[in-house]
Amino acid sequence: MKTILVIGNGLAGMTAAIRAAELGCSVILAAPTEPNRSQSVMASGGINAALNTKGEDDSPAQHAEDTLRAGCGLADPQAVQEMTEATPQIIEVLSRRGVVFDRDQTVAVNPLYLDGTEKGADVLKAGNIALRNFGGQKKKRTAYAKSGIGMQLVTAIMTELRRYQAEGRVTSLYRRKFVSPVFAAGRCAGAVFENTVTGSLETVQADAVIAASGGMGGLFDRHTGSDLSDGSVTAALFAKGAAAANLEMIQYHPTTISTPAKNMLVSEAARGEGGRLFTMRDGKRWYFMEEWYPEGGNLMPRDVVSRAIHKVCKDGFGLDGKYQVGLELETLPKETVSEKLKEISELAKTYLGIDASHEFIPVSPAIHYFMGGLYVDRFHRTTLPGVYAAGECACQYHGANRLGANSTLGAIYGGRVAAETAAREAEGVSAGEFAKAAEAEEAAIRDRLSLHRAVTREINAVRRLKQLMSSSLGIIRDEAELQAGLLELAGISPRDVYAPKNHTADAILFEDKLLLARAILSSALARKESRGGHARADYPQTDEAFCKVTVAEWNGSDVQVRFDEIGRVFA
Amino acid sequence: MKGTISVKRDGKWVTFSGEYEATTPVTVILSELNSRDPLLDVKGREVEPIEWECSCGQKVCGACAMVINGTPRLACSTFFGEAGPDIRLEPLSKFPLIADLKVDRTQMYDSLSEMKLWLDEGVDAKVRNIDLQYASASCMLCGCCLEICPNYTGRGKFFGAAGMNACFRIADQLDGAAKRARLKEFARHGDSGCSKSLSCGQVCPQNIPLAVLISRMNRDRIISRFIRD
Ligand SMILES: Cc1cc2nc3c(=O)[nH]c(=O)nc-3n(C[C@H](O)[C@H](O)[C@H](O)COP(=O)(O)OP(=O)(O)OC[C@H]3O[C@@H](n4cnc5c(N)ncnc54)[C@H](O)[C@@H]3O)c2cc1C
Ligand code: SF4
Ligand code: SF4
Ligand code: FES
Repeated sequence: MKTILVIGNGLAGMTAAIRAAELGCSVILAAPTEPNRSQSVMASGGINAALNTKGEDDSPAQHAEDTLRAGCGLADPQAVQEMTEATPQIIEVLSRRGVVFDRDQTVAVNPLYLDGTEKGADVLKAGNIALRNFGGQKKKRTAYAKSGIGMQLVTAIMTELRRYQAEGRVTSLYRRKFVSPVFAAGRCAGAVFENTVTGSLETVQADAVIAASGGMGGLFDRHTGSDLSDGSVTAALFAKGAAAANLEMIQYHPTTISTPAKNMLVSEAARGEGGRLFTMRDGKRWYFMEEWYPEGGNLMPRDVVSRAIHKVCKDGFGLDGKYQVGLELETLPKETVSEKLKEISELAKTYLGIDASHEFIPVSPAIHYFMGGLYVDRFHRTTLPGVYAAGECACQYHGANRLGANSTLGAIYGGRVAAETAAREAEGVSAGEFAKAAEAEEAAIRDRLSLHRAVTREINAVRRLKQLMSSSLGIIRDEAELQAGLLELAGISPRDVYAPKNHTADAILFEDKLLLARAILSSALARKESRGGHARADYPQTDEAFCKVTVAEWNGSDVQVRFDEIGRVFA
Repeated sequence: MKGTISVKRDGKWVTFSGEYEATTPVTVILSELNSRDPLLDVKGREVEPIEWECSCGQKVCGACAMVINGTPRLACSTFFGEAGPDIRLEPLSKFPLIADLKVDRTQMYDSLSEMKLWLDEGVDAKVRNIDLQYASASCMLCGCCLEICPNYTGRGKFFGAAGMNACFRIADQLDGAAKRARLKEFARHGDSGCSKSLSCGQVCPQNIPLAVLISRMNRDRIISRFIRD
């Protein structure tokens, strides 16, 4: 029986684990926490699927077309088509596995239910899965669950995972932090983890490894996600030679609230229900989106709105002189604010002390999603033999920009594909061979750690890195800022960083993060054009010559960036 | 505003002083303390950074549950203004301690497995209680309800509100014998040990209507006695 090791237990990781187990593999699912603590649980708006139940003549082909258009030429058309074709079936399976989607309407077939008989109750029929409009798509195609799709998906998939665990087909290891892959006979044969309870290094042997470790928000100062998704696995694999792609493609969400802890998403629903963005000019509210984009107004695509807010603030029109504009909800009907926009009003009340039915909400753009990541082909192979990647850590499906509600889909579909490829290609080494390689890898980790001096605590080093990354990789970048970022990065001495006991490996993961940070900045520097999630002040035009994948690689002494044709398949 | 933060470490209090805004959540206070290098307590002694858990930072993931001034709560939505100026932080006491404010909540997940809370095969969506199913599936498995519960010890066969809540959605989505089996699990591991004090509902950060779910399952159990497939 083949053993598959999955790293990370968000939507991509859990789905990959279940699929690999279905295919008869023995699965080890390792992560620092329980699945429902992962960033996936935060997804709010929905998951896209061309179910075509709204009489709008929708189809997977149109879903693919919209995805590719949002991707501005950088998404792999074949991968995207395969995903959108599989999607209606995936949603059907999710529904049958108990995901509580919102439903169109319900039909009471048998009124006997009223006298309390179970049989009567059971013939009550659920209506179709409800679909809503979402940014960048003309058809109603986004399945949702009130405003918490992530929680509903994670709970249901975790429920299914529980069965596989009970049957002994998936073993979950918690409080394990991935530190490094182990290579034997030219392939990845497992990994080294730090046990964050005991602080000891532990090795896990496997015939294939799937990285499902999420995005890189934790490398940036202000982002909407979880700091657990900190790019550490991507960084550790990158440091071992895995190529990374389109790292500069970073999606900013235009409307987030800035709280002492973090930036929190205010979903498009606020503007969908009539919320207006404004700032003050000559003592009056200036609805700049409506003035600049009379047709699309406040509901223009995310990148357009983000850049508009950025411009207003850079031109000195930020509200109260800060990097923020106002979101006007107080003029909407009171029930809209308190009912339809309940979560948003609660967020504003809890974290800003603002009553949205009486006052505007100050909002600003913040980092929300990473289109780039580990370079994978449409089978989810990375460039390292034996290592596969899926979910937000992988560069797949979204090209230069992601369509809202496509990433939970990409994580679930990608997790399946990665598991199928891994199960097919898994090829292990003997226990003896692995033990030898693992021992060498552990020794290498200890050697690296022994070089570290206790000068700066990791939490503070990360904080500095986050600030640097956020200021160099704003909504609009230019050569000078990116070069300054690289220069500052070079000034951070990785070996002066140390981490508290039981987390000592964080110090070497920090070294790897510095490399990844360099790759992100270098990729942004190399793409001398503007496209999707990458806007350059010094190269504002889109240049057809750059309709290619940005590929960054670490060759042991330098980060190198090149451009590949789209849709490569790795042997 | 000046204040003190006391953290339970190995059964003893370690106290720090600091100055925070009323709007600063406990999560930010803990990060701030851990960024002090060296970290000194009020007596000027150097101590190890504080172990605690956090992920979403905004009341979605349940990671940051701890006992704040004697009440189980989420650190990310408890603010200095309401909990200060002197804040006491303790780990949830019903779970094995890892260190400081960090506990191992695996037993809560294991109890859901023990009750076989899964769907044996695909189900047709049911709309009977769709809003309640949604609420039930919103449980963060934070453990606040177990902490406050007078009857939950973490060792016996009583799995508390978190267990009963999870039972609801699965039982509600199932039919016939499979449903009855889960309702039996609810009776064995939930209802029979619950004294209906309902403190759980008061501390649940998700406001899950636990009392309603419990009474629905009790009703379904009675109904199911009269049903033959
Ligand atoms: C506020 C918000 C709202 C969103 N709304 C939507 C939406 O409505 N629709 C949509 O499609 N998308 C949405 N997204 C995006 C979407 O949620 C994510 O892209 C998707 O869930 C990512 O899933 P994942 O499994 O790849 O990663 P994650 O869920 O981030 O999981 C990563 C896993 O890797 C683990 N990990 C990290 N580092 C290590 C390590 N060193 N060792 C071991 N494990 C590690 C983590 O603990 C975690 O378990 C939203 C995102 C945010 C932040
Ligand atoms: S009602 Fe009381 S006894 Fe029952 S689960 Fe809630 S807190 Fe525990
Ligand atoms: S029922 Fe409420 S308090 Fe209990 S674990 Fe779930 S979310 Fe937490
Ligand atoms: S950190 Fe997620 S609930 Fe507090």
